[in-house]
Amino acid sequence: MLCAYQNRPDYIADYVRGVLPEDEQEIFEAHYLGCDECLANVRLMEKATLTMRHYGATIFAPPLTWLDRLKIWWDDLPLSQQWRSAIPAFATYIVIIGVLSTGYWWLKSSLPAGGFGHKESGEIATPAANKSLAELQHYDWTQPVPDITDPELVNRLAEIQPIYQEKNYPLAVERLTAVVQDFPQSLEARLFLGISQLFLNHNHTTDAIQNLEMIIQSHPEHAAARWYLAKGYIKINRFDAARQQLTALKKQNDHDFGPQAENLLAKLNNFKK
Amino acid sequence: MFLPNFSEDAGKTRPLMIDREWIASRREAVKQYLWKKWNLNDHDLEEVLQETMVAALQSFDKYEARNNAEPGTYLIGIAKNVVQTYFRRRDRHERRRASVEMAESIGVLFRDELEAEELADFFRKKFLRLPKKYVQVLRLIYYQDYKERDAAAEMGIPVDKFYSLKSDALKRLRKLCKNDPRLGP
Repeated sequence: MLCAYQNRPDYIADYVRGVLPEDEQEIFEAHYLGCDECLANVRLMEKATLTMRHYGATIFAPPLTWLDRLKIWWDDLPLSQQWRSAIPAFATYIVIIGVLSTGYWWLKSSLPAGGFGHKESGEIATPAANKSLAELQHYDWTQPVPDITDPELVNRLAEIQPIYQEKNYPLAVERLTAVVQDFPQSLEARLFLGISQLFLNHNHTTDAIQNLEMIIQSHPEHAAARWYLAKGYIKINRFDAARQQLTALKKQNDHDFGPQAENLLAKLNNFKK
Repeated sequence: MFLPNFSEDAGKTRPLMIDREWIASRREAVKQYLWKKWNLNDHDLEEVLQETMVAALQSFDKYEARNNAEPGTYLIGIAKNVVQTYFRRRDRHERRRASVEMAESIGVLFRDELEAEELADFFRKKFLRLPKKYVQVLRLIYYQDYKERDAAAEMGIPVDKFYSLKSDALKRLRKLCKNDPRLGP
């Protein structure tokens, strides 16, 4: 027989609350004593009513935070106990790997060539690897001021100046090498030869250092030469030598290179720690 | 108030399918009735339940249903006699007047307090998915103990609209609870 109370949860709820008239209560009681479905609904409503009355403060509390909602969402997912344990473990593993990878990448990108535990000298580093320390700035050759007033030197430097400014370093190196051979005493020619060699590629770094060292030996106050010499040392990972040059440059109080030397020295010292 | 219609063949007497098995299967229903209606608990409840079941099994073959009565009428009649005799013997009458309290439902409705707390947590989560109006209806009626008329006034809606909302809210509540073993049959 179809139950007459099948779609009447409000009627059953009223019975549970005790708000039905006495005669209706008895009719319904006579019914649910013989009806499994209504008995189940009575028990459900009894439990729900009691729970709502007794724990109403909790059940009807103000809305939850996003964290609580996340927890509820998680609790409601149809997962077995094994998955409930496995997923957080896997997520934790992924997070740890992510943090470690990010940390490694960050450290690697902020350190000079070779990464962790590399030697500071005697080991060739790629220019890209120590880019953050040895990044070269184009030193502007505004006007050739040859220290030797030979008209030929003046003319040749004037010819090379646009080549250098166009950053055509291979050609600049070729021409400046010839000039330095012809005018070995010219500081200007040697300086721009050294800088061009530094810019050119790694194979020319040693030559660049030789040229710049020669300038410093004869003119220790030459700030630009000292600055690029320090950069050259960094390119080949001779950090102690670079520190010495930068310290000396700092002491010179050069308006252009002094502050840059101080910054680079601080970077180098941080790296050492 | 709605009354179910059992009067298709009112006035006639028809045999009911009452037998020993059926009576034995109604034990939990009788227990629910005695607890709810007669405020019996623990030892009293078990004793009256036992006496009712024995009496029902002894006399079911003499029972003749009239006016297409529900089979449960037979059990209620016996339960009433047994419980009243029981009260008379102890010189007390304890038919339930007030609402059921949580403490007296432990062990009868709820396995223990933990189950009740779990259900509270369950309802809190489920209610987040109900429309706010339904939750408000349930809160006013079942937590704050409002009468329907007052609750409608509180919500600022007509009473008939409130009844309709309450009916819908209870249907949703029943649907939410349907598959939970703690609330199942």
